[in-house]
Amino acid sequence: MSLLILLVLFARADEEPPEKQRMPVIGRPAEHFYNAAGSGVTVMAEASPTEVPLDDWLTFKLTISKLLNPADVEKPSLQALPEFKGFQINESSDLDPPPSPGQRVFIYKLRPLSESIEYIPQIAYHYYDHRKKVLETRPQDKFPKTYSNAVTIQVLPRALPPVLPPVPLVVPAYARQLANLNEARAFRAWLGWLIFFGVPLLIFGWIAAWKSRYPDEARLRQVKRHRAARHVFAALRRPAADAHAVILAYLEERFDLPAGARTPSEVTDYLGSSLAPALVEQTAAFLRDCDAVRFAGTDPSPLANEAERLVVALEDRA
Amino acid sequence: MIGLLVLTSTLLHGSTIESRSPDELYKMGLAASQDAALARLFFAQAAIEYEARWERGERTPGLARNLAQAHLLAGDLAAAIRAYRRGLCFTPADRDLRTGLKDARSRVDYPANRTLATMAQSRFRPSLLDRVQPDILRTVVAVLYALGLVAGARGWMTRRRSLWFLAFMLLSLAGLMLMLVTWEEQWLSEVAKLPGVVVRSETPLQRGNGIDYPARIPDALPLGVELHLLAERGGWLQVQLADGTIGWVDARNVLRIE
Repeated sequence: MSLLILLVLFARADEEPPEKQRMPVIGRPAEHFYNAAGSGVTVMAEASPTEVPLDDWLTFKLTISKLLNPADVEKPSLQALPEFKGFQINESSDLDPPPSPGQRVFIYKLRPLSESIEYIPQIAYHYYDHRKKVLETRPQDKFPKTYSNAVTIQVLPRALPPVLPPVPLVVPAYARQLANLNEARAFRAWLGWLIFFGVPLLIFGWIAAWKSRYPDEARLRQVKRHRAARHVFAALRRPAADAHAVILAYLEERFDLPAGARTPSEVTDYLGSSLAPALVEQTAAFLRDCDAVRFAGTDPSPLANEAERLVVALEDRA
Repeated sequence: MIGLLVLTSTLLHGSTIESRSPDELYKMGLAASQDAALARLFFAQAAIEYEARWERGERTPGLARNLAQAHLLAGDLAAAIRAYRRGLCFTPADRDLRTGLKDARSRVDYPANRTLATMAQSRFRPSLLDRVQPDILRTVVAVLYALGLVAGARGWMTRRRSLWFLAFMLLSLAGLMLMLVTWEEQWLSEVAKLPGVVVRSETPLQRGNGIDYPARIPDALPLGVELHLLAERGGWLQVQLADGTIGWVDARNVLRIE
């Protein structure tokens, strides 16, 4: 029994565990070798889905079986392979599951860039076969080459966005109108200056026209005085002239005496602001004399002379 | 359907969209408003044309209004607010611009808790010019001024004190009204100075000019918030919100109103 155990142990010792085996450097291929070791290694490719719209991604799965060193196997870089130029490739190692005994799985995301692509190309794969007996002159034969299968795919035209019913645009009421760009809305600054200076100019023009049509202030006064004085003297020379009424009319014309001012005190109040006190008193005295004559019923003729003297005094000093 | 008809009619008439005047494009957008996507294309093209006119120096309140409305209906809220503010820089009391800006401000998407809205929402100060257009007031001033001068001249001619008094009253009133309009406009134009508009949603307001600084306020600024620009350093802008809060934002996220 113990002899049998010894024989078994001896037989297993002949086959070194894979991690103990030394992979020769001589004969190692320059490309398509990813550190895989085993006997009869197979590489199988799968894609999902096999029908993919242009610009969409598909999952590409590469399963390498019969490996002796699955943990040491490197992930083939598809980006480095010219056969995969027609694809955009995401080969992040985050996608890969952990190694399992005798097998290694690598996951890629591929995006076909053209509708003319019909298959995912084969991948050449060298591995180290420690059992293979080769001539010493051909050490490269210890690294046989296998291929993954090509995967047929169909690239569909780019998916169109779904046609949705049109959505109305809410337009606020004020936005339904546009400003008229040809309309001069703004109060122009020059218009303000035109009014500021133009109106006074017009006023000066008006005054000039008025002055040309009418005499100036001094002349108007003189004319007014002469005219009023002439009216008084003419009225007093008429028979039975009412000196009281004539003088009041003169005061209205000459000094703008209000029509309601008739009594001596009212006349005094009004003239007090514009005439000397002596003239005011003389005027009031004359009016009192008129009242006295009227109420006494005596001859009023002397009042005409007094009225003339009053008018002369007023015209001289006013 | 209406939008399709508008587009078909445009193509049948043999003129491209680019050859249309902005006003025509705007009206085509209104006609196609049943299809928002199509209408926005017209409004966006109209906005480009209006913007080109503005850049050529045709800067009137009317153009600013049309530009802002085109941007708003094209879906570019920040550009619409900027256009309204640009117009108000020229005519601070323009009622149409103020109405449009008020509506645009109400469209800014503040967080639901309203805290940020309270801090950052710009508001108009109530003004006499909201009720009466300044041009009308200026016209009244001009009329009062002219009447006052006429009354004064007539008073000088006739030596009537009542006319002198009337002239004094009219001229005083005209002067007061002119001062009021000028002061209100001056105040409103001061408010319109140095504004910027946030053009990217979720723009953080930070304590310093860099992304490593902590946030000044918990909520990020939404698109369309108006800011006062205080300083610039290293691609960052120091800005002030409507309530006076000061912070820094990435200059790329802010549209300046020049």
